[in-house]
Amino acid sequence: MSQPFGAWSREVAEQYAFAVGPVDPYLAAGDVGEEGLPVAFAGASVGPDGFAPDPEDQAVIDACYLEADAQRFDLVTVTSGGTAQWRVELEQVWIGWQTYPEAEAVEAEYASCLTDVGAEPNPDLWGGASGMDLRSASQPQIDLALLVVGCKEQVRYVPRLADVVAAHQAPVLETYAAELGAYRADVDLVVEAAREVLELNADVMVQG
Amino acid sequence: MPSMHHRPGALRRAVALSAALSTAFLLAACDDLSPTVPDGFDQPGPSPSSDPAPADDDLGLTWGPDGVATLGSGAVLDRATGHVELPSDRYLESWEEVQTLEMARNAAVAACARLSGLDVQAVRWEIDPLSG
Repeated sequence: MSQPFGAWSREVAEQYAFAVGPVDPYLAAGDVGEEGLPVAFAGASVGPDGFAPDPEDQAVIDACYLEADAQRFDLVTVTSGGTAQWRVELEQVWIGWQTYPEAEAVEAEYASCLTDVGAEPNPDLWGGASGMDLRSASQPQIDLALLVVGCKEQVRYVPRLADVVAAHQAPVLETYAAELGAYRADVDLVVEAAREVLELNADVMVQG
Repeated sequence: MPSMHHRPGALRRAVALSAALSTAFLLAACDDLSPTVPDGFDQPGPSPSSDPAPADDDLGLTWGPDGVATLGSGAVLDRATGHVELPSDRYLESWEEVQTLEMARNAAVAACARLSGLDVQAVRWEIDPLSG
């Protein structure tokens, strides 16, 4: 599940506005925004403060990364690089749904409503608002999010767009039903294995 | 800033989806809320915590006691979390599953590094997801 149409739930907007909420068990409840995304044990070559890893340590890490025990959980490996035809076609829907006339009509109604209540649509983000901040759950952001939610309720924004996307997905899901079922079964297996690895190696994981 | 950069030896592999996830609207469940309605808007549908029976809202959606509504198209709306499940989501890897895979991969790397003599406690590294 995700939130592809932006903030729409009044219950969520009341607490988080547009911000990304705490979704990781390793993070303390209440963290949002910059510290609110789940992290585990990955990194970058150079940290935000300019820090760089020790080359010898990094060589060990790089070698271990290429081991089969790690590669079997690599997302590209699991998803076969995203080259399956069903994935390509679903991606086309996902890339293109904002160009469908029925979706554009919904967005236009939403934008009109938002203007009517004194806010401005975000030109770069469907279902957003000018001035929205994904990192803040401040009261002004909550107030703005509630304006957004109100307009989305008024024009039935999310159910209408969800129906639009679902309608365009339907023929793909029907055509590739067997492949999709097999893929789902494979994902279930690898995720189950991943959970076992996490349980076995809990002592090397970051604990918030 | 998050607690990070503990010492040299940080893992180099950036999480492939971190940049995308940083802009995704992923919100946690919340409870014990007292919604308010700004002027000019209709009242929202019944709160799942105050009305356990399924009920239609003004927009024709039927919300179950868990705050979930299923559309005719098969999409599922979860008011408590703000999540939307599209029909394809039942087949594709979920965000939670992607995170599980990422963590398991990193745990496997760490376990391997420990066998190679690396002090894995010292190389713990929490990425800044917004840096990609």
